[in-house]
Amino acid sequence: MTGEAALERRYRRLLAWYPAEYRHAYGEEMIGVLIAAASDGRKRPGLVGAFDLIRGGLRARLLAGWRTLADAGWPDALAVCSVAVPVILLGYLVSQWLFFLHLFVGSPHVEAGNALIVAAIVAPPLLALRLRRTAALVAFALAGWMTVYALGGISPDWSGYWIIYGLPVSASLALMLGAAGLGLSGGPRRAAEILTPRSWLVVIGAGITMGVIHPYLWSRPTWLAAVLVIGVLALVAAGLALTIPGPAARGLLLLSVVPAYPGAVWAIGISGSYGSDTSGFPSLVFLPTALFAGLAAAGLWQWRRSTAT
Amino acid sequence: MQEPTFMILTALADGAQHGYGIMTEVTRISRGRVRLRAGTLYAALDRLLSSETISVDREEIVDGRLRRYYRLTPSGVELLAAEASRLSANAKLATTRLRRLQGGALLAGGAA
Repeated sequence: MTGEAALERRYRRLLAWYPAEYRHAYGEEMIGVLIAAASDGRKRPGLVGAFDLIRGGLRARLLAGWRTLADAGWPDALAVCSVAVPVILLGYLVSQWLFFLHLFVGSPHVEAGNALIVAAIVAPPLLALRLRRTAALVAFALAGWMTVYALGGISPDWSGYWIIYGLPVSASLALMLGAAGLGLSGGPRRAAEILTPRSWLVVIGAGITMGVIHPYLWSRPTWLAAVLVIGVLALVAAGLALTIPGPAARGLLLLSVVPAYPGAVWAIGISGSYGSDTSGFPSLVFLPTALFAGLAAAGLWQWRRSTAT
Repeated sequence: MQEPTFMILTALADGAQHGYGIMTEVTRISRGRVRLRAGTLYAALDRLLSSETISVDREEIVDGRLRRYYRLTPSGVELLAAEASRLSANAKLATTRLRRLQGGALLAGGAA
C-alpha cells in the first residue's frame, strides 16, 4: 500500500466521526483537501489535524441533532397531545371511578370527587372546540391542581431525604402537555386533521387499555404498576409516531419523554437496590436530570454559536 | 463575525475558490497567522452555505478527486462589506486615539 493510500484510509476512518449526510455532502471533497494539504511522504494524520476532524465531526453531529429538534413539528405534536392526554387519562380514571364505586358503595363524596376529576379532564378539550383559550386556561388550572397534589406528596423520610413520587409528577406533566396543546397549537381541531384512522385507534385503544389494566395494577407492587403504565405509554407514543406524518411524529416522541421521565426514573429506583432504602432517590433522579440538562445546554450553546456566523 | 469566517469570505472576494485554494489563500492573506484545518474550514463552509452567504460555483474532477468551487452570493458580498466597514471604522478610531495618546506622551516627555 502506498503512503498516500494509507493516509487516505486513515483520513476516511476519521471522517466516520461525521454524520452520514455530512460525509455524503463533503466527504470526498474533504479527502481531496486533506491529501493535498498533507506533506509529502506522510502516512498518518497529524495529531492536531486528527483532533480538528474529531471536533468537527462531533460538532456536525450535535448540529444535526439540533436541526432535527428544530424541524420537529412542535405545534402539530402538541395538538395531538391535546387529544391523546385526556383520552388516555380518561380511560384510567373512569376505570378507577368504577373500581372505587365497587369498593365504596354509599360513599357519595368519593363518587363526587372522582366524577369531578373525570369531568375536569374531559371538559377542556370539548370546550376547546369552541373556546380554545378558555379551555387552555381551564386545562392549565387542572394541571396546576394536579401538580400541587403531586408536590403535596413530597415528605421527608426517616433519614431526612425528600421523596418525590414519580407517577403523580408524570401525570401532572402529561396534563401540562395537554394544556400546552390547547394553548399553543390548533388543539383538538388541528389534531382531528392530523390523526389518521389508525392513530385514533391507537389513542382510543390506549385509553381502553389503561382502563382495563387499572384493576390489575391495584394489587401489584408499585414498581410493576409503574413499569406497566410506562410500557403502555411507550407503545402509544410509538404507535402514534408510526401513524402520523414525520415531523409531528418526531416532536411527539420527544414530547412524550417529558412526562415519562420522572415516572421511569422513579420506577427504576423502587425496583432496584433502593427499593427499601429511599435515601438514594435524590442522586438517582437528579444526576440523570443534570446530565440531560447539561446536554441540552451544550446543544443550545453550540446552536447559538453556529448561528452567530 | 469570527476571524476565520471573515478570512474565508475575504479569500472568496477575489473569485471562486475550491477548499484547498481557500485554505492556502487564507494562510497567505493573513501572513500565516490564520491556518485553517479541514474540519474547521468545512464547518464554516457548511454554515455559510446554509445561511446563503456563499454558494457552489462549479465542480471539477482533478486527478480523480472532487473539487468544488465556492463563491460569494450577493448577500455574502453585502455581509463582507458591512464587516469590513465596521472593522475599518474600529481600526480608524483606535489609530486616532493612539496618535492622540502618543502625541500627549511626546508632549509630556518634552515638558519634562
